[in-house]
Amino acid sequence: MAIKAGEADLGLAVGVEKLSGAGLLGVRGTERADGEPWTPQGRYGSVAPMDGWVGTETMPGVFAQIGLEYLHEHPYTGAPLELFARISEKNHAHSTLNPLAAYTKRMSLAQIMNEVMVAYPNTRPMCSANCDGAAAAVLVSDAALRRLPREQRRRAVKVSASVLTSDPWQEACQVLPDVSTLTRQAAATAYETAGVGPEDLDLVELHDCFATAELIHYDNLMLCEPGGAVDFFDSGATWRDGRLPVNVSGGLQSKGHPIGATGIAGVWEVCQHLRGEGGDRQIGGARVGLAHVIGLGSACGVHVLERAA
Amino acid sequence: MPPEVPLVDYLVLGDHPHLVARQCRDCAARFFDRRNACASCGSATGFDDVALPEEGVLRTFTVVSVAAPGVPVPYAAGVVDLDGTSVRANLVDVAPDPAQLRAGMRVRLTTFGLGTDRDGVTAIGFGFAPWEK
Repeated sequence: MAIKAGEADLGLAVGVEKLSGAGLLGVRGTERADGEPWTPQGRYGSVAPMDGWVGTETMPGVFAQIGLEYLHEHPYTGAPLELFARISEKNHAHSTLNPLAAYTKRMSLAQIMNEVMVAYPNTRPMCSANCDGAAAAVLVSDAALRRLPREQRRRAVKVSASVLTSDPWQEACQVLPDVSTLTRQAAATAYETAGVGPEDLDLVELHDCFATAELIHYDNLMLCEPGGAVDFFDSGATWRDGRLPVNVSGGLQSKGHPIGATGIAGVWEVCQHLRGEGGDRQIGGARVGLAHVIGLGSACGVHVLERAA
Repeated sequence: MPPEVPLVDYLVLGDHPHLVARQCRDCAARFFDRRNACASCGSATGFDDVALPEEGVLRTFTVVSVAAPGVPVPYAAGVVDLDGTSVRANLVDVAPDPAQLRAGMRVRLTTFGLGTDRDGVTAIGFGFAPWEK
């Protein structure tokens, strides 16, 4: 933003996370001493912790509900567990080509479905991997770019849109986090700003914190017809050899989800392909890409990036 | 009857236990937490309690198998639409099994004891149970 405002012409964006071994996020435990007097506390006047007694606050369960709600609103007659496992199968297959992924293990559909169930329909491999990580991006203004050596200019990627949104209040948004409204708004603004439509994209890195999240973001990012996320996935479009590869890095499910680094890591992945430096996982001829990140609370970032020249 | 206390302050006990929402006096947005201002319109005019129906429709659910220490698993959790107002709750009186649950099914509020403290006060929790007319 400082570069856009003309206050700076060279910046460094860094994201870092240390998360290994953190386990299940968002839970505090509900141990209480036997016989301790019930005392109303907090914003809900609750006499005991609510997680597990008044629904679930844990992320695998929250996103499980978000995914199943989509399948209810856009009626699905198949088996949800298998559908979401197939999305996870794709990302784990993609990760085998990414030496920087936390897990680079191909998993069969049966393996994923029969793994430890965390919160139906999310089994363990369908949940993002807690890991350490860091990512960085150097940002320059047009003027500063012209002063750089030709070799560096050649690798430059154009930031065609950089959009950050927060979520407006919606009915139920404090009951089950709404990660759709703000993603849709960010995507619409980003496409408008960049003068690029979803049909122009060569690859997408989106926030698949759970397999259930990836499905709804196909729709939120308008990669498919409204309500058509299942058909879009079933068409094979999002595999690396498909029409619009999604999460060729392996996604958060296998590349990992070092939360503070995840946003820039997605941008970096897209940049590698636009530069033709994607190595074994290069998407050939990639010219335009999109990176999407979510933070509950909520905030959403969408970047449209294009190969310069 | 021994003294009882609700698990949360938006659960009203008595002969007909029910939930209450706090409705913004300006824009009618509904909340369950104690608030100084409305998260929808920003108004600080205040809130009125609105009783919610005991019956509703399950919007979505999950069955949680891995949880924090002290939380018995597996349990079924979901979001229930009470005539336009959504609430988070456990699904009870039904096996915590995805095959027994279906988004769109009718459910009804029910209450149960969570334990008695050394003063003899029992905490009362709530959940929603499948209920077909």
